[in-house]
Amino acid sequence: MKKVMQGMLVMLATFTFVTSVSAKGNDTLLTYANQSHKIAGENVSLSNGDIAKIERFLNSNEVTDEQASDIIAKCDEIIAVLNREGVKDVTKLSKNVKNEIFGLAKEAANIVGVTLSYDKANKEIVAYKGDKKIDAISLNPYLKQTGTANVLAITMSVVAILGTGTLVLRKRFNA
Amino acid sequence: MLNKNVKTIIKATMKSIIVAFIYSFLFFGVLFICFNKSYKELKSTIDLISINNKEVSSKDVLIDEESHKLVVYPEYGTKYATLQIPSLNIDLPVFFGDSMSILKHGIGHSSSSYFPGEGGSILYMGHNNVGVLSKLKNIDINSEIIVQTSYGKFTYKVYDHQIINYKETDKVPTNKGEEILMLYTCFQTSTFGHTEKRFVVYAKLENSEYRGEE
Amino acid sequence: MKIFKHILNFITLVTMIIFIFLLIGKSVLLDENNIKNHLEDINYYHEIYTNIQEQIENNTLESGLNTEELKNTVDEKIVKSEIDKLVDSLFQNKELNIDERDFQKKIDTKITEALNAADRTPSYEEKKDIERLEKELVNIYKEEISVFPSTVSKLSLIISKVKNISKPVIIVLTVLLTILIVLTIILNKKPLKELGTIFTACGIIAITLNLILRQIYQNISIISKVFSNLIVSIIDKYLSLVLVTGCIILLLGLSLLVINNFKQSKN
Repeated sequence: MKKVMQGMLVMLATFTFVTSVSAKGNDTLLTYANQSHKIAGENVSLSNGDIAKIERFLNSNEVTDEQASDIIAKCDEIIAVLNREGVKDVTKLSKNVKNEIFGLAKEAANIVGVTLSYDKANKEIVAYKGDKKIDAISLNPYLKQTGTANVLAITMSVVAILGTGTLVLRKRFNA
Repeated sequence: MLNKNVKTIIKATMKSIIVAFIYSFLFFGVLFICFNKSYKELKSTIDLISINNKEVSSKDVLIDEESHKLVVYPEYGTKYATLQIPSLNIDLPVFFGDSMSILKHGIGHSSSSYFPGEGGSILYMGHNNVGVLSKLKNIDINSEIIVQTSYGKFTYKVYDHQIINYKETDKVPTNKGEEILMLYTCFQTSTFGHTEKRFVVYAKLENSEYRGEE
Repeated sequence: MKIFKHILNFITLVTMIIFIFLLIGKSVLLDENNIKNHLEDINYYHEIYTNIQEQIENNTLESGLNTEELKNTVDEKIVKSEIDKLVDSLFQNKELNIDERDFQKKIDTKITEALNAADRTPSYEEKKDIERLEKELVNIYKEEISVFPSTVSKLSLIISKVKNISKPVIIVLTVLLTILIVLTIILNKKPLKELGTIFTACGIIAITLNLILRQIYQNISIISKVFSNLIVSIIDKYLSLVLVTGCIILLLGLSLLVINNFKQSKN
């Protein structure tokens, strides 16, 4: 009986450890996504819509601690790039910087097996996991022309999956 | 004699082929030493712009019955629900995603919002053509909007509608904590062209019936 | 002496490989007419034409205008000639000038016809709505054709530099290869055997490189499906030619070896 109890305790501890390892990575990312970050002297945070995308990804995918750290490191790199440029107006970023940021976003997405691809026809960045389209970010921040509207030329990522575009977009349009 | 000749020829040829293979290995060895790093960089760059064709098996949309959180979401661009407005005789398919190519087929669901049953804001949109949402502007307060999904049926009651500008995204906020369905379409005051106005209907969740629950 | 022979063979082999890859690359990737023929072969012009029509349809579904009539404002022949202009500007280092006037005129005409049919004079707001629609449609037209207009001038500069360098490099390689092959013949008692070995190795390398490189790029997805297919198909064509060349050289090498060994066995 004692041995059975001991065995069960060990199993319980292992199970908790395993789930907490997995859950912790998700929690870490979610906490980071909910934080505000200083960019060019302003405190900026993701919108609720962007958090919804991230939550959706984390609800259906487990992220390890290591993956979460790597992703956060990439996001910090992106924020560093924006701070280096010190621009408040997104449209003033050069094409090279936009490409640099998009490259970092793709690397971050890759960490969790997500590929980002630009769909020119629909003017959105599409995220794939394997062959499956899991989400997309429109480069059009306005309500659809159920029609058309302005198209922004930049995206950036704070958290891999689809934080793409949003921090800076929010800065631009909520300023 | 002939056989012996053939054997000799084959043997000699094989020797030369082996030498050829040695040259090839040497060549690839040199390539590896000189270009391995560049090859890896090139490969990872190309990986970044490639879609992995490893098949992810298509799963049905799944909801956790206790927390009522979705654990398997529909693939972006696929139909996962139908939207019904009985008072306007509207019955349309709902697709996850809101690109122009999706809106051609029915109602689009903004991926910056939550799913029915998740307890947050839901943003749907559709064209204002006949056969889609042309009658939406006639909707009354207290009308019912029903969203039928594979994991449950959700009934919303209209409490407001507004005409807004397409830039007024703050009028269709994504919030957690209260399940509000927002449905919008273009509001044409003119007959031709692309209008800046949107007609938005706001509805609160009245009733939810999860599949399997009696 | 033996080592010297092997070193010479190896240098000849490497030169041959570089020569094959560069020569095929020049003919596939740097030849304007080849590229245009390839676009025709993979139906690129028609795909772009269809894409434009589809996007016009998506963007005019609720404009109040007849979507089918608006789709018909796109002329496939004109789309083809505009795409050819893009290829010309890439390869001849010309400025890219997509001419959307014909398309714009047709859109204007359709809209005017629709207004006349409805017996209406557009209000100020409606005129703005119509302008917005026209601007979007013209943008779609230009962007589908030009793919990435801002990069065209940079790319055409790179292409012209590569074209300028490739000619002398190929000439130098040809001369070098000729010298090396002549040396191989002169310095060896059994030149057929050495050449056969070199050619066989060359064929093996070409085929192996082909197989390795084919694993990398097949799933490329950029800009649009049509454009991605174009990139993949061009690389496919290049590698297919390398493969065929490799196979021919391999067979040639084996033939030389067999001929040499047959001669030896007779002696």
